[in-house]
Amino acid sequence: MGAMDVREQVFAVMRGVGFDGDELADGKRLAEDLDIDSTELVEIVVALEQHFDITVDADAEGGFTTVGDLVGCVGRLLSAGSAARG
Amino acid sequence: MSIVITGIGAVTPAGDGVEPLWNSAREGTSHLATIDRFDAGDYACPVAGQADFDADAELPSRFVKRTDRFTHLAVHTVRRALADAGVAVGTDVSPERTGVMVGNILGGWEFAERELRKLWTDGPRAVSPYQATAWFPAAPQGNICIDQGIKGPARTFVADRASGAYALIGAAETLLRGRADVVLAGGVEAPLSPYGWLCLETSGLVAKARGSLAPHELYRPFDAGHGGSVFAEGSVFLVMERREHAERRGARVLGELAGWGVSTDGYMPYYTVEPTGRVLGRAMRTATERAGISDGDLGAVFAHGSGIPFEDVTEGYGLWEAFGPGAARVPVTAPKSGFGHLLGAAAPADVALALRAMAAGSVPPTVNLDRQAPGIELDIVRGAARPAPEWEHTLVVSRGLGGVNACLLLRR
Repeated sequence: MGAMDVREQVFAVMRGVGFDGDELADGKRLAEDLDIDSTELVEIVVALEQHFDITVDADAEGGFTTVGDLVGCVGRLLSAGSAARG
Repeated sequence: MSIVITGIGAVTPAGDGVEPLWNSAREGTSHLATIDRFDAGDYACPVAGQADFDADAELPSRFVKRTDRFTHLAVHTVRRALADAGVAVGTDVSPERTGVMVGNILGGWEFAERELRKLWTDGPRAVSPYQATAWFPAAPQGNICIDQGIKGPARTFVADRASGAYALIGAAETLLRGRADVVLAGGVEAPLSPYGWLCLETSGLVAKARGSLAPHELYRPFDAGHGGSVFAEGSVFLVMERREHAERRGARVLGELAGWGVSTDGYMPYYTVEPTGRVLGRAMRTATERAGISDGDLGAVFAHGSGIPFEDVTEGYGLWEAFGPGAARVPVTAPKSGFGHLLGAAAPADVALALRAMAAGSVPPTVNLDRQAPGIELDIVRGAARPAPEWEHTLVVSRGLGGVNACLLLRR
């Protein structure tokens, strides 16, 4: 899956959680710009896990600050997964 | 020092606002019909008052998804009440001097049932992280405070069907103690979920469907055919303030909460009430005494009127205990049989209606009262609204399971 595809799919998942498409961009800060609290972040992470069939260890990720952090994390986990599958 | 009401927001089965509620009450129109929100065919009471409120059209989608319908109704209604009063929190009153008092009974079961089903079928990861905060009865209170930026005293009252009356009393006492300058006070209930509806049935409160009665005829307060309540969803909030605060800001005053009285008469079995009405009568009496009026000044009573036979009969006894033979000369009405018993919002709805009715000089009728039940010696308004041009004071009666009595005395 290409980086663009991952980004588009992360945005699609976030739209499903209730965000407007035009407020989503890599540089948007989760708390300050999008008003996301810890509970909503849990909802987003669980939705991403279900959509991409991945497991996100939010603590190990050291916290997400921007939408781009979520996109990057999903991309990393997906490529690690495909590498492991060989 | 007096406590006045300067704004009202209401979503009820009659519509959005006090005017549709008043118009239907005055005409004796019924809004009770077979439930279509979920399949209620197996329930004893498949009839309800459903509010035609589309949360997605009124509130942001990210807010709607994380909250239950009772929070949607409450937040919307508070916005309407503030607009009606011409009050903006942070501009006309400081956030620290604004309070919130909410009455509710069931909590947010529409949301909770959906998520609990996921818990048992798909496991904990499938449950919305908002489940805990969406369900609990104080959720509307918290979300009202967040929505309006309110930082003053806030509380939720859970006292069965007297919850809303307790919220208004809590507001009045908060204002009298000088802890706030404006308080949003009212009640909300969204009981139309399969489990919430079942709770009302197993508590022994509902009118059971009978082949001889159409859905809109099922709720019959004080009628010989009374068999329980038909419940409804809705939300009613009032803007309350001390009179001098209201006058200083040039507010339009809708009326005064001039008195209140509470008492408790828990009685076994638990679902019954004290049979003589003596303790309930004391709450009625306390409310009128606090307002400093004599019995002849009481223009009408907005009854609890649950339609539950022992509650109807003891409510009549209570009025006699409080006012003696004068009880038989005061017009009594229970217009809620037209739009449904609003549970936690029932007393605030009666207050909103009574204020509007006093301004119009017209007592709305009790819907479905054809033949008065024996043993209830009261002058109950039925059929059509009754003109009452000199009407200045109204007693609102509210009671709940476990012997909770809360009565309010309104002055025009």
